[in-house]
Amino acid sequence: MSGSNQQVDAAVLAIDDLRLDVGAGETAVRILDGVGLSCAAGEIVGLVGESGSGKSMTLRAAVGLAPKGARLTGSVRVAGRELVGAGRREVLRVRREVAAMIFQDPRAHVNPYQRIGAFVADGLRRTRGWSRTRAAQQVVSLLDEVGLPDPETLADRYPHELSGGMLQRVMIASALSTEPRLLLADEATTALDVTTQAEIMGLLRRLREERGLAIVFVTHDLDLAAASCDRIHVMQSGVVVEQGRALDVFERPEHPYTRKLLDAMPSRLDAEAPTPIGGAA
Amino acid sequence: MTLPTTETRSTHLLTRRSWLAIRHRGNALTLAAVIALGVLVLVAILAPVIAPYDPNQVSLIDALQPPSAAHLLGTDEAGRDVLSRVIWGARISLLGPLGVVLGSTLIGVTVGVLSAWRGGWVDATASRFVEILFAFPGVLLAILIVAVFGPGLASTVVALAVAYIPYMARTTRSVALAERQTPYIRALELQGMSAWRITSLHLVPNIAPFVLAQATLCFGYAMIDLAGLSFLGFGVQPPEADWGAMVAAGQAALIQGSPAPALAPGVVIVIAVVSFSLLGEGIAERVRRTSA
Repeated sequence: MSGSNQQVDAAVLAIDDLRLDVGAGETAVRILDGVGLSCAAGEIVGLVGESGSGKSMTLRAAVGLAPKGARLTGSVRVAGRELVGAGRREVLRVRREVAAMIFQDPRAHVNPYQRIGAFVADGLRRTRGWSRTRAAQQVVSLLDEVGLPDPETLADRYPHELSGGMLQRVMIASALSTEPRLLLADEATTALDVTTQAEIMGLLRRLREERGLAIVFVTHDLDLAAASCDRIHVMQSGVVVEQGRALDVFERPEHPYTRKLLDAMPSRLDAEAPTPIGGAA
Repeated sequence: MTLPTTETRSTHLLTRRSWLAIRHRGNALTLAAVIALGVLVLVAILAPVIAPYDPNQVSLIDALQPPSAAHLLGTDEAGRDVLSRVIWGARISLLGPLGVVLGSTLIGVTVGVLSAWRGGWVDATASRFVEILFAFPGVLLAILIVAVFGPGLASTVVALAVAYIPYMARTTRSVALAERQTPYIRALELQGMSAWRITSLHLVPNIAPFVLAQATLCFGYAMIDLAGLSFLGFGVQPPEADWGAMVAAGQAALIQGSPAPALAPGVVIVIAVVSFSLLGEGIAERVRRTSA
């Protein structure tokens, strides 16, 4: 062993041979079958695949979250801490301190009754025990950091007063509040229009550089992944079928599934209906 | 970046603005109920100022007088001014149901949220407990408790609070179950927030409008039940002014041809209960509309 410190530096998230089974006996289904993935500090890794290919499951497993009654084997290391088989406390600590997650539909993921400021401040007040005033100052600078205009007034608003794009920025600000090293984005731009999508991706890339964040970006949009990620993993039926540098995967796909996925993209179709390609488990 | 828009529907159910909205939408009945209850509450608070006589001032010479300029609602069998007694009676008649509703809401919401959150055997046990309470007639339960602790306002309020727990618990459980599945609650769990924090700071505030609607309906029912228990002699004891007790005491006068002593408090009970029901329905309707 070269010491855990070096490993921490090398990969904030290291998933190795991850298997996830649900059900028992005849109804048993293997959802993930030997998934391997790593993400280093300052790196954006794309996880691409169809609905049901296991990309969201992989992401959830990265914070020790598995469906009820599921059996998880293999290894998930977040900042050097093994999560598979870890106790509840250890998992909670990772979720509070090391990893943060943003979601597809920001509106559904915020408490509609909570003001923006209170929502973003929550992590600081909870995990660091900061006072309301101290957290409020930090909230303003966080909202400013994610590019929201007039953060002081914004903090007093309610979620329904904000647009989807603004709310996604608020979610990012909230995720960043506890200075995580790993940001998990689950289809974080899918619900947004193309312009906003580009803005959010730009923001994520900037944060990656400024904060040295490791970002795992789950999407079904191969185009977007190729444009914004450093490396891409392509998943099909619970298996990573292809991985490599984003441009390589995009321009010289090796696995037939990746080729099919690329062919199914509307931009590469000539007015034909996209063909379903059977990637769900 | 454009200015924030309000393109999506408001998810705030009971802010100041929604009360205005109730008025603007022309929900006249709800508005009427709010006004009627507001007047009742004011009367209860201002009783010492607006009551023309001491409600317990006995004057046998003036017994059973018909309504007149001196006594707008006449006098009862002991010569006490009926209007003054109705005014003073508003205090106990409103405080009693308030106690019932507060008690049953506190316990009912706790039980409901707990069983929705934990599920499994906790839910099964709590649900059976609630079903048993449901199967047991509330007034009978109240009479049982009064038999043990003796008659009086306090024991009837405690008794009815217990009897009303299932109504609050059942409503809370069903809305909490739905709320528990929402992404934002799941996201909070995912962030490692404790169950206590999530439920008390996020889940309960979000289901509060539903709870409020149910509690308002219960308030009306509790008022009837308390008046009924007072009428039966288990609740507020004479000579204290209470609408239910006044109806009971007025029975004799009714036969003698003086309807006012029983009728006046009876009419006020009806107005109050109907108002609470209308308000409860109004809130429930508004909650359904905004969250549907």
